Parts: sequence; C-alpha cells; structure tokens
Amino acid sequence: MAETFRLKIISPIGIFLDEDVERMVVRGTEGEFAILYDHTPLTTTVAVGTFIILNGKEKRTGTLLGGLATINPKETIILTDAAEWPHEIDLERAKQAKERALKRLQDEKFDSARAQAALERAIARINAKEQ
Amino acid sequence: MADNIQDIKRRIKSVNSTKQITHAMELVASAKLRKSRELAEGRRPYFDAMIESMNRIVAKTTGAPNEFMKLREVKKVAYILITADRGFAGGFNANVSKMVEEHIDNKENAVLYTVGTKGRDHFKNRFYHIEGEYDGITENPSYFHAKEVANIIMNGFKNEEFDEVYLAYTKFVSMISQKPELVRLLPLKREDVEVDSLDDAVDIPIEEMTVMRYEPEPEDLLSYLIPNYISDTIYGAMIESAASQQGARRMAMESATTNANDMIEGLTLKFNRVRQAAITQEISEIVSGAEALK
Repeated sequence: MAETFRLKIISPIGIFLDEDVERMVVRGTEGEFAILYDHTPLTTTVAVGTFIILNGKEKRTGTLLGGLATINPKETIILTDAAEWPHEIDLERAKQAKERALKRLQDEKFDSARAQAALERAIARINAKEQ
Repeated sequence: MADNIQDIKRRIKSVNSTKQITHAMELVASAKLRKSRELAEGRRPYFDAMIESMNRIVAKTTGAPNEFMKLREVKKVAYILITADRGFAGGFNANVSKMVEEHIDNKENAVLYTVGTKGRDHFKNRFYHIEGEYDGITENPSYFHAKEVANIIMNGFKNEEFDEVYLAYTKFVSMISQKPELVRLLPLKREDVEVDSLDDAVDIPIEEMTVMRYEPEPEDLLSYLIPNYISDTIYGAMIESAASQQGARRMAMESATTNANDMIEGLTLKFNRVRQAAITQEISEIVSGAEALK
C-alpha cells in the first residue's frame, strides 16, 4: 500500500473531512495538481472546482468552492468556503443556478463578478454530480 | 369583597394561557440555542486554522501593508450592528443598540449596516443614516450571508466611503449571561492576525516552515485571506448573537412563566377566599333567617 498523508478539509461550518489518503487531485488557481505523501511544502490557493481523492482503488469526488491549501509532507490542510459531496448536491438546483447566472452575465443590471462566481460554482457542482 | 368571583376566574384563565405561550417560547428558544451553539463549535477549527495560516503568511510579508491594514484619518465610521428580528428577549436588542448609540459621537459621520430588524428600527426612529439592512437571517446565519455583508463593507472601505468599521454584537458568555461587545473590524490591527499563542493543532517544525513555498506571493495570499478573515469574523459574531438571542429569550420567557405561576397562585388564593366568603355569608343568612322564624 502506498504511503498516505493526512488530509483535512475545513469549512466555516465545520470539519468536512479529516482522514489519511493516498492521493488528492485539486484544481488550483494555477491549474490542476495532485498531492501525494512527501509533497514539498507549499501554500497555494484553490479554485472553485471538483476534487478527487484516491485511496487504493477507491475514488471519491466532491466540490470545493475556493480556498487555501497548506501542504506539508505529512499533512495537507485545505480551508474552503464550502465543500460538498455529490450526494449533497441538488442537480436541478445547480442547473437552474447555471441558467440564472448565464442570464445575469448578459444583463448589465447585475454584478458580473458575482454572476461569474455563481456560474463557476454551478458548473463545479454539475461536473461533480456527473462524474 | 369587591371582586366578582367570575372576574377572578376569567383572570386566572387568561394568565394561564399566557403562561402556556411563554413556556412554549422558552422551550423553542432552548432548542434553537442548542443549534446555535453547535454552529459556533463547528466554526472553531476553521477559524483556528485560518488564523494560523495568516500568522505564517503575515510573518513572510515584508512589503507595504495590505490595504485593509492601513490606518487613515477617520472622517466617517461604519457600524455593523447585529440584533434580532424579534423581540421578547429581555434587554437583548436594546443593550447592543444602546452601546452603539453611545459609541457614535457624531450622528452625521456614522454609517450603519444593520443585521436584524430590531436594531434597524431603533436607529431609523432616531434618524440615523442606515446604509444597508439585512433581515431574516439572525436566527440561522449562514457563512454566505456573512460573506455578502463582508463584501459590501470591504468595498465601502476600499472606496473610502468610511475609514473605520466597528462590529457590534452580543457575546454569549453563558446560558444566563450575554454581553454586548463592540470591536474594530477595519482597519485590521496587526496583532489581530499575529497571535503568539498558537493552537497546537498543527505542528510544523521550523525547518519545514522555512522551505515553505508560496504560490502566488505571500502578499497575494494575504489579500485572499483577509476578506475571508473578515467574513468569518462577521459570521462568528452572527452566530454568537444568534446564541445570545436565544439565551436572552429563554431567560426572559422563563421569568415570565415563573411570574405567571406566582400570579395564578395569588389569584387562586383570592378566588378561594371570595368563594368561601360567599358561602359563609349564605350560611349566616340562612341561620339568621331560621333564627328569626323561631
């Protein structure tokens, strides 16, 4: 069995995940990257997107709505605004949110930065659900 | 006796139904209080971890201070006031509103952002300038509500609409004690983000810390973290206030229920006396009537 590292995902609502994993793939603001045991120490930002956790043959996905990752050889802590497992995601609602955000991007009445952020969240959720 | 037996009966009934309401509200408040405290406990790890990251990053930054840390001449002051949407909570709403009112030294220079209708009404009636109002979120605050408020506040601060921001909320000391608090939120004090006594949840040896790479630069990471810090501080204040609100309401309702019980006791005693007096009077009338016939 491959070596594992401790992964903690913490959101303002509480600890989302705290366990030993082999590999994690997240979307950083500078592109996707994987975290393995003995990673070089790094602090970086995490974008809105899906993440994958691999433990042997077991594979789990979820969404992270932005955050900050502090990576150390034995431990990784991700502080995120919100984290979700696919079963917590309401696909219909995400699709509606996507439509709404797209409409709002066209409309000048609405704050485009907020609509853009809402769109990213909706897409991340839909991707996680469909994987 | 002057009191009518029927009147007393009616009063007992009325006090009793009020008692039932206050008792129910007391139970509801205790249940909600438990929920709020769970939220507060859930927030703890995030806050600790965030403070720690900020500490480390602030230590790495050498350049100009972040825009949210810069002090400037204070012309306008913004207040975020967290109260409840509903009353029946003893002095809860009044205490925190009064504290803010006392802190404002010039009405013209104060800008208010109110969370909860009670604080809004308090200051609206006194003709203060209310810039933003957020209702219906005080009982069950979410992080995204807090973030929304934080974004508006940070934009205002950035655009120099105001030069200082204070956060007024009610701290949950214990089940029976809640204390109004006023803290300066912006500009950030360096000691807010630099705490010496770190939580030992994460133990990082010194040599590992020195090789820590930052991507993007520490300054940029800090400008990502500070908005989160502010959002989370507001979120924390909202949760504390939510817990305090329920605590204060529970206390108020408990004493109302006790008072109602005392009243019922007094009234029942009175009722029995009046009833007994009526019976005694009737007997003496009959006796004296019978006496007269002899």
